[in-house]
Amino acid sequence: MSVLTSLGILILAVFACGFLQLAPSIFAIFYHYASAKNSRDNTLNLSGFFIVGQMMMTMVILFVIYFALYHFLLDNPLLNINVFYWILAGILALLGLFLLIFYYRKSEGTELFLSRKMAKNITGRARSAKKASDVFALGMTSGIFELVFTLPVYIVVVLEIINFESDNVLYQPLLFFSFVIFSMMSTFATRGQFYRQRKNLAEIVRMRKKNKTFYRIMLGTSFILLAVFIVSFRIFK
Amino acid sequence: MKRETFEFDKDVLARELKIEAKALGIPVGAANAFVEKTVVATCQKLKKKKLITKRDLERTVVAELKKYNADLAYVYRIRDKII
Repeated sequence: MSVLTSLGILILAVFACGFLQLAPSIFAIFYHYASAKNSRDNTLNLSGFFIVGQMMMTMVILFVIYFALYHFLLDNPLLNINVFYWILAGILALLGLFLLIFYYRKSEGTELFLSRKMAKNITGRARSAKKASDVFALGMTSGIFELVFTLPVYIVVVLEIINFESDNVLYQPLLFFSFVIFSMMSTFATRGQFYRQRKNLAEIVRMRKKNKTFYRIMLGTSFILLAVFIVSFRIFK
Repeated sequence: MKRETFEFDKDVLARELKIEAKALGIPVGAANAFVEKTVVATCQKLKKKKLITKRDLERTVVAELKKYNADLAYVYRIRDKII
C-alpha cells in the first residue's frame, strides 16, 4: 500500500512538473531560431545540450534538497514532520489555485505569469543562442525560472524517495532519474514535434494556445491533488 | 512614464522577416520575393502617418504577410508573446 501511495504521489509530481510550460516555450523559441542558422541535424544536436542542461539543473536541485532534508531536517529532533507536511500541502494547494487562475496571461499568445521584462530577456537569449555552451546555459536557467512552482514538488519527491519502502539499493537513483526524465516530457514532446513531425513554431504555438485551458487545469489540479494526497496519506495515514 | 522610441528601418524589418521565413522552412527565393513586397507595401501604407507606433507597424506587416504566408504572419505577430 505504501509503495503504491508513494508511486501515486510521484506520478502526480511528474504531472505537476511535466505540464509546466516555461521550459518547452524557451526550447521552442531556441529551436525555431537555431533552425534558421543551422542544418536540421546540427539544430537537433544543439537541442540536446538544452535538454542536458535542464536535466542537470533538475538533478542538482533535487540533490541539494535531498542533502538538506536528509542531513539537517529529518534528523532534527525539533522538527515535527506532520507540521512540515501541513506546510507543504498548504503551499501546494495555494500554488494550484494560483496556476488555475494566473498561470497564463489574458492575451492572444501563450504569455505566462512572468514579468514582461524578464520574458523579453529570456526570449532574447533563446533567440541568440548559438554555441553549445549558450544552449546548455539556457537549458539550465529554464529549470530555475519556475522554481517557485517546482521547489515544493521537488521537496515532496525527495521525501517520497527517502521514505520509499524497498530493499533494493538501486531504487533511489532509479526513481530520481525516472522523475527527472518524465518531468521533462513537455520539452521532449516539443523536440519531437519539431524534428520528427516536422512542425514549425506557428503550428506548435497554435496547438499550445488551443490547449491553454487544458494545461492550466491539469497543472492546477495536479498541484491540488498532490496537496490532498499528502494530507490523506502522509498526515492522516 | 517615458515612452520607448524606435527608428523604423526597412532593412532591419526585411532581415527579421527573412530569418523568420528561413526558420519556418520557407524556400529562400519565395521568402525573399514576398518579404520585399511586404516591406514595400508596409512603407507605402505607413508613410502617410506622422507618428507610427510599434503596434501600427506590426499590424500592417502582419496584414501584408497574411497575403503570402499565414504561418509567417502568425509567428511575426506572436514572436514576443510566446513566454
